[in-house]
Amino acid sequence: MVFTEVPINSKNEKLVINMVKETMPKKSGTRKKTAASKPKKKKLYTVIFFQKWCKSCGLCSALCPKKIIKLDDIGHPAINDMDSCSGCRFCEIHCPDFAITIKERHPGRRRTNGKH
Amino acid sequence: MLERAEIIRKEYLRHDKKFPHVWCPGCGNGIIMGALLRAVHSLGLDKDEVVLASGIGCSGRMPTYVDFNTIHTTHGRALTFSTGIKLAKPGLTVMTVMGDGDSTAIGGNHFIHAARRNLNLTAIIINNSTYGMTGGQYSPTTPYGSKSTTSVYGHVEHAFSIAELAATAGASFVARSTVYHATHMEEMLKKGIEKRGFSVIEIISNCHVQHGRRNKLGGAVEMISGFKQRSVTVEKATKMSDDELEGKITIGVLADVEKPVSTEEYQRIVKEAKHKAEIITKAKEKNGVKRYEE
Repeated sequence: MVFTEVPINSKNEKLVINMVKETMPKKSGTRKKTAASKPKKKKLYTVIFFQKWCKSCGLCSALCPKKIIKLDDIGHPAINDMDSCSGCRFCEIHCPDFAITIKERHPGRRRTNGKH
Repeated sequence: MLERAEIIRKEYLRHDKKFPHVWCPGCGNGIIMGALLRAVHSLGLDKDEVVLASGIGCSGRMPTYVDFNTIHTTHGRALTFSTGIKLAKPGLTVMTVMGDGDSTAIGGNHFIHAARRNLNLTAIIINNSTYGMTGGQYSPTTPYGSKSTTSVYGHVEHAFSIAELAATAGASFVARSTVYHATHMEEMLKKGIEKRGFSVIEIISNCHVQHGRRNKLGGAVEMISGFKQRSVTVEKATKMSDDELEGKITIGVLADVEKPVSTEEYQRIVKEAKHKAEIITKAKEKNGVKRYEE
């Protein structure tokens, strides 16, 4: 180690601290990097259609931003690709007949621990 | 845990009434009812301390389905009934839901005078620019040139602007929203209910069965997504010229002023009169004025 022979005063205090900081080995920001690189867990939703009250107006299918709600031959809505739902609830608040409910889905952890 | 939609469906709707409701498929009245229930739910109001009054028309069916204290009144006189309710029980939150013909044609006088009196009421006006229930006759808000049952070759009169009319008549809170902007509508309803004084919320709705079909505006989906393209916010509208604003819908808060509320003023007058009467009787007793009976 090399000691600098500079007397520490209130005037040059900051300067000395900076000099010492430069000589020290830099910490690698491991914690931040892992948080950024780790993919965010996608939230999953279930869309429940209450078909008894549905009048087949087609608003949910037309206003869905992901375009995943498809209409069957009598105009009732159905979803095949439920994982694509982003949970914006746009169909829920625009349904005039109170026929749509959106719930967050928590799929259970596998007991087999990766083995099938 | 129950989701908000489930809570609203279970607690705020009357399931003994016939559901699904009577409105046509894709009608905006259902969306407005949902937004109103969500607004009341998020404000944390007690169901038993909310009153919903309505007039005649498609919108008049709304109190049938919601589980508040409700009253279905005569044509155009919904505001007079709710004025009476508010004066008798000032503690209640009174809301009135009306159509465009109900509020501005048949009950036009009641509407402007309720705005002038500035009672602590909330008026929700659903504007679908036609008389939908009776068969598509033209209403005071039918746009110039559009076709209806009673104007087959195009309408020759110009339309009312309900929100500007209310602001000029002296309402303390005036806002406008559309059926497409359901979240914005919910926020406006919340502000209107919270506001002390007469608040008017005009909601542009669709009538694709009577108005849209005759004017080739398309079905429910086309009309509702058309509101998205036609609407501009109040902040944007101030920078635009009159030609650009032709056919556009300005949404947002149009007027928000603080005014003395007439119900509270009335209570103050009652207190003052009682106080004066007491002083007079005391003075009479001191001076030895005999009572009339003696």
